[in-house]
Amino acid sequence: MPAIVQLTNAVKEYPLGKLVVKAVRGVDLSIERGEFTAISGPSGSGKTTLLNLIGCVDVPTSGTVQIDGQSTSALSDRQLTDLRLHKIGFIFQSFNLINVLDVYQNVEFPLLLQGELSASDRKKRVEEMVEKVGLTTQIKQRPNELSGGQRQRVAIARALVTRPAIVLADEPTANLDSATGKAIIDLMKDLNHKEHITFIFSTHDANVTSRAGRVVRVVDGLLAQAAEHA
Amino acid sequence: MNLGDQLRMLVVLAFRSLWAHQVKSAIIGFILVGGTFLVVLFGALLSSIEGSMSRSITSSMSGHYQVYDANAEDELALFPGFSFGSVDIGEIPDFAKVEKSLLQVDNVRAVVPMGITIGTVFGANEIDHVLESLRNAVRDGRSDDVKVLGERVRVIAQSIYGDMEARAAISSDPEKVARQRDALNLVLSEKFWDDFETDPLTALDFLDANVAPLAADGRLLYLRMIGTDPQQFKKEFEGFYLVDGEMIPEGQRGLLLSKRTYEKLIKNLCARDFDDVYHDVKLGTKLSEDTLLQEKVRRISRQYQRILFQLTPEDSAEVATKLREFRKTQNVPETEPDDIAAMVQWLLLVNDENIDENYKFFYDVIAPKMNLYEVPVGQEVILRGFTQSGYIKSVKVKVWGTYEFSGLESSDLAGAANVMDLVTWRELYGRMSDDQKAELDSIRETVGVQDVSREDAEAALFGGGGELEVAAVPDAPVFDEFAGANLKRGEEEAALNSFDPATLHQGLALNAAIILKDPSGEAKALTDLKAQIEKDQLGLQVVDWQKASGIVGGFLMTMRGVLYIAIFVIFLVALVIINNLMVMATLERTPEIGTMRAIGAQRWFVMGMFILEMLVLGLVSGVIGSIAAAAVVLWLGSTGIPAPADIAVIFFGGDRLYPVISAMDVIFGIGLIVFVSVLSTLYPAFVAARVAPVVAMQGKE
Amino acid sequence: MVLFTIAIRNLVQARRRSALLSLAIGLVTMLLVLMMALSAGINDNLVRSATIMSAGHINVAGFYKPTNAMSLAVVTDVGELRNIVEENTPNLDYTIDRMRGWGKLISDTGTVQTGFSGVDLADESHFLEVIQLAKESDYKDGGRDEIIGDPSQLAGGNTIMLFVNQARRLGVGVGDTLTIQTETVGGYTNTADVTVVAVARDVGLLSGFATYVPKQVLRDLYQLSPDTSGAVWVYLKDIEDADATMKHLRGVFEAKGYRLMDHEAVPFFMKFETVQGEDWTGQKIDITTWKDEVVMLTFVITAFDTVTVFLVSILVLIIAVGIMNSMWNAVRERTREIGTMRAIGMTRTRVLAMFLVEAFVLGLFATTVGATLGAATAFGLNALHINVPNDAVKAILLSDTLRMSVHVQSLFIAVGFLTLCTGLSALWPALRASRLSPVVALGHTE
Ligand SMILES: Nc1ncnc2c1ncn2[C@@H]1O[C@H](COP(=O)(O)OP(=O)(O)OP(=O)(O)O)[C@@H](O)[C@H]1O
Ligand SMILES: [Mg+2]
Repeated sequence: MPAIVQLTNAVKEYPLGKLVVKAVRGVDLSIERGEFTAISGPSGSGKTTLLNLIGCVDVPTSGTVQIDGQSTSALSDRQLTDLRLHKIGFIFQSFNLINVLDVYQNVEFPLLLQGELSASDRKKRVEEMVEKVGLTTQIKQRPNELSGGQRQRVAIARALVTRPAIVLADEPTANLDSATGKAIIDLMKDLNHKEHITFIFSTHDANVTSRAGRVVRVVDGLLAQAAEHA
Repeated sequence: MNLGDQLRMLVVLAFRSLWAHQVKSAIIGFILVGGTFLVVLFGALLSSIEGSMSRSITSSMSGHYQVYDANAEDELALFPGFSFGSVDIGEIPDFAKVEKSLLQVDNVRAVVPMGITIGTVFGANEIDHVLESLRNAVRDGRSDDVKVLGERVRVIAQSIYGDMEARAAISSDPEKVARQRDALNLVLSEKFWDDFETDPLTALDFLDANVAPLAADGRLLYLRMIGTDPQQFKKEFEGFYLVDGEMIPEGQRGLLLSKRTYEKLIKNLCARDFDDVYHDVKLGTKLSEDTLLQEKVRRISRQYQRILFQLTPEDSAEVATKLREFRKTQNVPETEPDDIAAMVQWLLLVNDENIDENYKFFYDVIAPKMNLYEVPVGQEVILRGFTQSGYIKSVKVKVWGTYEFSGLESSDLAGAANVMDLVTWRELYGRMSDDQKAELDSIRETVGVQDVSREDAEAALFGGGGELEVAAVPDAPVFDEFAGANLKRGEEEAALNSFDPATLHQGLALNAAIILKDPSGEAKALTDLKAQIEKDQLGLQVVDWQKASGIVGGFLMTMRGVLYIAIFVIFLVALVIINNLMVMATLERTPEIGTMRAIGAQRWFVMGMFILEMLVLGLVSGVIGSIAAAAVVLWLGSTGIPAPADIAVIFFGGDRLYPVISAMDVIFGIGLIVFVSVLSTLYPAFVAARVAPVVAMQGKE
Repeated sequence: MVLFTIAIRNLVQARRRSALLSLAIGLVTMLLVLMMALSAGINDNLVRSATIMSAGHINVAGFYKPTNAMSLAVVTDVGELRNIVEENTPNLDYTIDRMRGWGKLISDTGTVQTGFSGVDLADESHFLEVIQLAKESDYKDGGRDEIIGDPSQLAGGNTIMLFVNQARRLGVGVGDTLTIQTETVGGYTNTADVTVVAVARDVGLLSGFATYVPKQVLRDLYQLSPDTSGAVWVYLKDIEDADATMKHLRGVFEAKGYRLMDHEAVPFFMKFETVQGEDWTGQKIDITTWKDEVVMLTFVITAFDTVTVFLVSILVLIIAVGIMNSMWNAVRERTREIGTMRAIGMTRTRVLAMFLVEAFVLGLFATTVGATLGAATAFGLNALHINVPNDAVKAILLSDTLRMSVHVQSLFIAVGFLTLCTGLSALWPALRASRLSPVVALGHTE
């Protein structure tokens, strides 16, 4: 079985005026199904850029990105979007919920975009997911009526509701106090265990890194070491 | 498969987003509501105008369609435009054929023959009245009257003689003035009146030829004449109704003047202007505040002679006495001059206080003694027309009465049309039936003799060569004068005054009105008519009422054009502004869009979201704007909009427009606004769709 | 100036927003300029046709009543009248005098009703300059594509000059003979045969009712003596002086013992009836301006200006809303910046000024571009000589071709007015910005 994520010599450059910023400079990375991977590194080292490449929201300047054995370099925007919709879930640093929709609708949103489930199936799935993140009582509330931790739980529910192969999280705890952050990581880890969902998240919080199954360190756009363990 | 659910989500998103960005929505909504309001309001006003105009015009002169020569040089214009008279719309030589053919078309109820031409009338001169009376008195052998009337002729001649100085001052021909002076001298001499007793007819002719023109003070009136079948005209045009006098009897020659022409052109200037001032004051204008109206009052007062000239000496005396008494009741000091001229001037120089009483006095006491109208109802009038090639045609015809078109009573344009029988009209236009031509030829032979004797009139009087000018019309062909004016004084009059009604529909017409049985089937009728014309090779063109109404219809189209251009411009600018606002709003929502894109929303979804948002906003604004416009229209519909100018009376189909709003206006307004909203959001939606999913990851917010 | 620099930098920073706003403002400016140009064009058409065909800047005319009940629109002793005018008119350019007549013009194939202007070419040096002749093909199907005819032959003989519309209707060209038929009060009909010596290009609506013949032709038709004429047309150096000069001349003539008619703003042919009914004989002088003689046409300009005002107000309202909104956004976006500046020590007034200057700079830029484009479009349209197809539109434009007339003055008005509107719409957001307390502003996150 192929790796769920396979980066081969991935390079990402940003033109910045006359300069070219090399955010990722030739990364080879392979992540297996069911891994709970943390990407760590100092600010500006290229964590977000790496996640963008894995999440197919951005394409590498050179090198290839394979998701679930499928190369993304030849895909159109429409196909990439479809790939994201079906295979990848996102959890953002600043939650990025749709403010005008309530908890239920936010979670339901990707399912609607998929348009594959019947209304009743959808309802069941959404309610199940909301229950898993423990927000059943807040299901009719809008994001601005929730705390930061609760918002991130909604985001997690939204990311998982489509049963994606990979969930990406860019500094999911950066905007939360450490206790809440810990609870969020616990929840993610729990889901990783129970549902065998692959988690890849970036962070520069050592407490968070320590709970990862695998830590990938990025320094200056390169992988420093790939510490395999625990 | 789950498109319905996605759509529902889009709608929810649209409403919620609109609500979330209240200020932006309110601003754009405000522009859209305003836009709809304007479009619906002005659209409804214009449609209402079109509706009332169509009603009043189709039911007055045009019918549902008009047909005329397909190869006409000019366009048919039922209402006078900017050119005087001489429009050339071709001819329909054989109307009977056209009528027969067009009546075969299913929906056609009637085909009314018509022709428009300009006739001139000389307003009556005092001297003409006197000479006519004198002639009648001589004919009837009333010698007492002959004496009195003869005396009046002498008075008139005396007064003309007094003006000869002024005449000589501008004349290029002193000899002619001298001859005129001689003629007057002759009339003032005892010998003339002695001769009068022995040969009154010759003397009368001399007076006609030499004194009457000198005393001329009548006006030349240009009257627009519509020749038609009067009975049919009355029956088919619902707007037509009689005001004074009676309808032209079937098979009789005759003329019906429009009431507007009668009151505004033919009426004595003094009385007419007095009416105007009275009318204005009744409508609330204060004479003391309106300098233009004061000026008008002063001008009326200076016209007092127009009244005095019309009064016989006895009437004058009576009026003077009554005026003197009336003045006392009005607290005018006794010391004021009390000759009739001064008193009439005083009567006419009205102010806010006395206008009611003075106006009443004028109509109670003075008006009944005057010839208020130069061409009065019940009398005959000589009309002169010019054929296309400039020949003068004259016809004598009786004014049976006056008429109006309902709704268009106060329109000068609609009121310009005077209705006459087509048989007489053809003569005026210069076309006669074969029968008439033959008849005329035979008559001409019999009167030819008398004509010669007329030319010899001076010789008989002066016993010498005819040096004085008699021919008042140097070069113009004159034969038709006989056909019209002079002949009918004879016994043939009765015979010539009636005709077989069928002849109205045989022979020449210029255009014809098509009246439909069912006006709602207009579109089909038009194609049918065209097909029928084609089939029978009638060589006619069909135009609708709007086109047929000439410049008036043109103005309406121009108004519509201006409205559409204005709307276009307003929307163009609104488009740019809304576009601008929406782009800003889009930029603000970049993170949200990025998130949606990252978690799997396709570009079309994002675009759809924005377009739907504006669609909703456009619809809501459209409805609000339409309701506001409908409210205003309903309010205007109950109070009415007064016509601001004469031409507006035709547009409004009356003195006031009572606008109505139709579903079409609203649908058009809302449709347009929705279209514009969607159009204005295309670019912002495109910008939104281009937002890259990465922005979702770029932290912040 | 630093505010100025900041304003420009900010505008450039928010490039897209500025561009779109400029587009809207520019469009409206362009429209305003075009509407004003059209209105001025109509006005020019009116002035031009009126002062060529129906009147001088001022007319010294009048009525002569040979009898109490008769009125003729002639003045006697016209030489003396002209002397008086020439000696007493400030800023006089020149004077002419014209006979006036009204009647039929008859050819073999048609008849038109028209006015006749009796000219004396020896006396009117300007006449030949103003009149533009038409090509033969303009009025004759298959005619030559060149100008034929010689208006200088109007100097004498039985000659006539027509306009294109009449020549078409009558089906005649240069060299053909026509019959003039005039009717005088009392039913006389006098005729004269005349030869067409030239055909002039139409000058708006009024040219449907004007033809030119030598004065003597009209004198003969109306049998008037040589020292009579219709009216003295007075041309001033500046037409704007017409009203004042008319009043002045009235005084002059009154002082010299002439009898004057009260001033009434209607054309002379509408005065016949009134004069006829008045109780006097002999001569009275009537002094009017060109406007009085074409008063029934001025409504077009009024109507047009009303539409312009209405349209522009709506557009300004829309634009004001747009500007206000965009300034709101600018204020919100730059709240921190404002806070910083206030903290550093910028006064409220300067903050206010900063935003206002920004709006004014934007307004000035956009309106200037718009006005330039508008003027260019107007010139372009003029150069195209667009023919107006519709009679009603012709009536409204008072001409057969579209004519725009751009006055520098109106460009400044458009630019000034709309820049001011732009600035004022920014006032409220700018005031709000200046009221922000530095603490709140700095604490603002976004
Ligand atoms: N859109 C962009 N344009 C230009 N340069 C960029 C862009 N995005 C990122 N970079 C640059 O690429 C490098 C890597 O940035 P990245 O956001 O991936 O770092 P990071 O590890 O996520 O940092 P942080 O911990 O602060 O989030 C940085 O030097 C950054 O300046
Ligand atoms: Mg980062």
